[in-house]
Amino acid sequence: MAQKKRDNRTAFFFILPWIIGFICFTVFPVIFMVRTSLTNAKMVGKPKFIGAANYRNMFKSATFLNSLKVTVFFTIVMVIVTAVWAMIMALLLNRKQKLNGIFQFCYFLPSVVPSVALAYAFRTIFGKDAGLLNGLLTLIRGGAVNINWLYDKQTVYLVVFFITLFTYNTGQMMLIFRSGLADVPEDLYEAADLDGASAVRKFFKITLPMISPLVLFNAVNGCISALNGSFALLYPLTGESGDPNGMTQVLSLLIYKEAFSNMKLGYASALSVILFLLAAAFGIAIFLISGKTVYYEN
Amino acid sequence: MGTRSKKTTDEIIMYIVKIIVAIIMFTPIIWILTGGFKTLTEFTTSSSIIPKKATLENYAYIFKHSPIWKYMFNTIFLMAGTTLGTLISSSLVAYPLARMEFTGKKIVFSIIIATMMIPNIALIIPQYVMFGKIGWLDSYLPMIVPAWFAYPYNVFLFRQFFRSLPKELDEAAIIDGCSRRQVFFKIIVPLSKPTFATIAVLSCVFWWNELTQPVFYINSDRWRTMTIALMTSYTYTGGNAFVINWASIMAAASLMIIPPMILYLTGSQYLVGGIKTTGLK
Amino acid sequence: MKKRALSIVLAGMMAATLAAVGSVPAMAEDGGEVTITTWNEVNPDDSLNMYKKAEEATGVKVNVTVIPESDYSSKLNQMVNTADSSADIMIVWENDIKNFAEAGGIDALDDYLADSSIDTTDFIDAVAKLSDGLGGTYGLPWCAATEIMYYNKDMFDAAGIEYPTNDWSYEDFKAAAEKLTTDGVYGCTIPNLQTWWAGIGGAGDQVYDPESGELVIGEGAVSFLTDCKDMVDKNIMPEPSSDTTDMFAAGKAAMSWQGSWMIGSYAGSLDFNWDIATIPTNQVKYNTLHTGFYTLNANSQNKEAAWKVIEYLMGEEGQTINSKSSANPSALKTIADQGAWKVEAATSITNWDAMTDSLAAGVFGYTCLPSGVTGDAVSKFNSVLLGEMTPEEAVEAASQYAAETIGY
Repeated sequence: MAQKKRDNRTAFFFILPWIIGFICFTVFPVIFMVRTSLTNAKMVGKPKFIGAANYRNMFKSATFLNSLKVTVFFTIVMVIVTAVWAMIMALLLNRKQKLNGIFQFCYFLPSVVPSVALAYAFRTIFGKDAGLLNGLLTLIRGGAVNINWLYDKQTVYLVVFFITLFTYNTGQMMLIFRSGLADVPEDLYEAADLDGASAVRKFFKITLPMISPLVLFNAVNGCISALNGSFALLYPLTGESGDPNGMTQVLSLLIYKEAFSNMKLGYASALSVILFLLAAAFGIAIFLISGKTVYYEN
Repeated sequence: MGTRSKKTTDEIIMYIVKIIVAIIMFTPIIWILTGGFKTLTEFTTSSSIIPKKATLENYAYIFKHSPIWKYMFNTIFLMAGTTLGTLISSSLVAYPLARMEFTGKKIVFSIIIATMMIPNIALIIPQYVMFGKIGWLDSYLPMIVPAWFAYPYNVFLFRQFFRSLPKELDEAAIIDGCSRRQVFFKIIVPLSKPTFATIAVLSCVFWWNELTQPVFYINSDRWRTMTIALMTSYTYTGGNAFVINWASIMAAASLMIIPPMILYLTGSQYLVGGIKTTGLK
Repeated sequence: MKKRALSIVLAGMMAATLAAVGSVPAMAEDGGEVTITTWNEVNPDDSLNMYKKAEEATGVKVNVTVIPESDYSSKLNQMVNTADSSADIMIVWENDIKNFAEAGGIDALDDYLADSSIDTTDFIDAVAKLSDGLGGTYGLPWCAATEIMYYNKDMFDAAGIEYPTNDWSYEDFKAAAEKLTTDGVYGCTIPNLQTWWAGIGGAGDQVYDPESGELVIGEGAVSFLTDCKDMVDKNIMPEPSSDTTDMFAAGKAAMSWQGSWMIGSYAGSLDFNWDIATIPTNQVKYNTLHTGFYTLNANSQNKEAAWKVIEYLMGEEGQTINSKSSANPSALKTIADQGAWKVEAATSITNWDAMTDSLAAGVFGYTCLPSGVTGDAVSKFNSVLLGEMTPEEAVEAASQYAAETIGY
C-alpha cells in the first residue's frame, strides 16, 4: 500500500512536465480560444463581447462556407491519394532487387525537403511559360503547350494533389507500409502461388488484411497531417486567398488571413474553433477504433 | 526455361516501373538543385532542366544580399532548443507510462493520445494571443518552451520504445535498492540511446522544415529561419506585389536540401528506422 | 565513438539552449540609441543610407529593424497591442495609423512640431486630409510614392509608335498595346496589387470612401475588368500564372503599370531604353498615394532622441538622401520641387513630369483598407482574367467580402 502510494508520487513527478504543458499549452488555449471567439477582438484595441455573432456571420459568409468545403474535400482526397501512392512505392520497394537502396533514397528524400522549397519548385515546374511540364509536353506534342496548371480550375486540384505526394506525410506512410510488408510471412504467398493466385488477388486477399492496422494508423495520421500540413504547403503555393478563386483556400489559410491581414482575432478564433471541432471529429472516431485495434495491448 | 524468361521479363518490368517512380519523385529535387545554377532570365524563359550556362551568381547573391548564415544558425538554434527540450521532457513523461503502475495511468495516456489528434494549427491563434500577452512574440520562446513540457507525439514514441525493454530490469534494480529516478537515468536511458537518437533525428527534421510556427511567431529579420527566408528574403517587392527571384530561391532551397540528404545518407537507421517505428502497434 | 558523438551533440544543444536564455535583445543603455522599424532594406551604400547619416548628424545611434512587407502590418499591430517598447520610431502604414492613434499606441507629435523646423503646411494636400479626424498629427510621411506606367522605348521604336505622353487617352493606350503585341512580347503586363486600383479608380469608381472606410467599387471596376479580360483574350496581356515574373524587366512586355518606386530598382539594371508616363485612364486621373508615417511609439523610453532622428529624417538633408536612395519624392512640396528623386542612374527617363502629374492626382485609397480585403479582391480580379468569373460576379463577391470584413 505504501509502495503504491510512493509509486504514485514518483510517477506524478515524472509526468509533471506534461501536466504543466498540457494545462498551459492545450487546456488554457482552448478555453481562451472559445472566449476570444465570442468577442470582436482585433489586433489593437479593447475587445467587446458580441455573443455568437462571429459564428452567425461565419455561416453567412460565402468565403467561409467555401473554405469549409475545400478543407473537408482536401483532407479526404489528400489522405486517399497519398496513402495509395505510399502503398505503391512500398510495394515496389518490397520487391527485393538490386539498387533498392537507391530507389528508396529517391522515393523518400522529397519527404524531408521543406515544403516551402517544394512549393516554389512546383510553382515553376507547373508554370505556364517556362514550366518543366509544359516544356516536356511541348517536346512530345511538337507544338507549344501553355497550360496554366495552377490557375486553371480544370487542372488545379490535379496538380495540388500530385504535389501532396511529395510531402513528409507520404514518405512516412511509405516507410510504415514497408515495415508492415516486410513482416508478412513469406509462406502465405507461397501457399497462394501454389493455388495460382494472381498478384492483384494476393494483394487484396493476403497483404492488405495482414497490414490493415497500419492502413488504419496511416489514415488517421494522414487526416491530422492533412489538416496541419496544408498550411505550410499551400501558403507558399497558392497564397492566403487560395488561388484560383478560393479553390485551395483551406481553413488554416483563412484563419491566417483573417488574423494577420484583416486583424480580426475574434473571428479567426471562431474559425479555429471550427477547425478544432473538425479535427476532434476525426480524432474521436480514430480514438474509438484504435481503442480496439491499434494502441492498447494491456 | 519458359518460367525463367518470364521471371526475367518480370524483373525488367519491375525495374522500369521503379525507375519511372524514382524519376517522378526526384524531379523536383533535381529542378531545385540545377535551378540554383541558372540565371534568372534562363529560369523564367526556358524549361530545360540542365542550365545552358551554369552560373554561381545566385549563390553570390544570397550570400551577399542576405545574412544567410544567420538564417542557418537561427534554424539550427531553434532545432537544438526544441529537440533537447523534447528529448528530456518527453522521455521523463514516457517512463512511468511505459514501466510503472499508478493511479490514473489510463486517463493520462488517453489524454495524451487524444491531444496527439489536435492539429497544431487549430490552437495557434489563441496561443499567438496568449504569447503576445506575455511578450514572447518575435522570439523562439513560443516554440522552445512548449518543447520542454513534453510533446504528446514524442511521449507516445518513447513509451513504445521503453515498453520493449524487459520488465525485469527495473524490478531487479529496485530490489537492489535503486530508486525509480536511478532506474531511469542509470538503466533505461543508457539502454535507449538509439531511441533518443531516433527521436532527435525526427525532431530535427521537423524543425528544419517547419514553416507554420515561425511564420506566425517570428516577424523581424533578426530571428528569421531558413524557411521564412525562402518565402520573404528573395522576393523583391513592389508594394504588396511580389516579384520573385526564382533562381536565388532555388539556390537557397538547395542549401536547405543538403542537410536532410546528408542525414539520410549517414543516419538512415535513425531516420528511416525511426519513422518506420512510428507505425508500431 | 558513437557515444562520444552523441555526447558532443547533446552538449552542443545544451550550450545553444543556454545561449538562448542569455541572448535577450540588448536594450539601449543610454538615451542616445533608438530603434526604427521599416519594411525596406537599408541601402548598402553608406552615402545613401539615411539612417547612417542621421547617426552622424544627431549623434544618436540608430538601429534598424527590417520586417518583411508581408508581415509588416501585423507585426506592428502586435507591438502596439502588447505595448512593446523595443522600437522607438515606427514607420506606420496608412491603414494602421488611425487605429494606433486611437489605441494610444503612438504619441501625438503636435507639441514636438510646435518648436521644430518641420513645416506641416508644406505637405501635399492628401497627407493633411488623412490626419483629419484624428485630432492631431500622429505621423509624418517618410515620402510620397504613387503608380506610373513604364514603357520600353526600344519596342515603341521598333513598332513605329510614338512614345506615350502624360495626356495619352485610354484609347491611345489600348491601340498601342495591341500594336506592340508580337510573338513572345505582350503589349502590357496585367495590373498588379497596386495598379488594379489605379485602373478601377481611373474608370470612375471611388475605390475607398474615407467617410465610411469602405471599399466602393462598381461600374468602373466592371468596365476595367472587361477591358483587361478582353486584352488577355487577345494575348495583349498575359494571364496570371504561378511562375509569375517581372515581364517588363525581362523584356517580354512593352508597357507595365507599377509603383513609382520601381524606378529605383530599374535604374541601371535594365538592358533596354525605358521611360515613364502617367497611367492612361478612362474617365479621370486616379492614383493611390503610397507612404508610411514616422511615428513615436508611446511606450518608447527614448522619445527625445527618437524625435531628434525623426526631425533629421524629415529635414531637407534626410529627405534628399531618401529621395536619392529610393527614387521617392518627398511629401514636403518645397523639397520635392528640388527634384532629388530624379535618380541619376535612371538615365533613359526624360518624362519626369509623369511623376509630378501622378502625385498631383494622388489620393489615399486602397491602402487604407485591410490588406485581406484588397488581396481577396485582386485574387477575384485574376479569376476574371482566367475566365472563371464574370466581372460582375467578381465585383459583387469582392464587395461582399469587404463588407463583412470592414463591418467587424
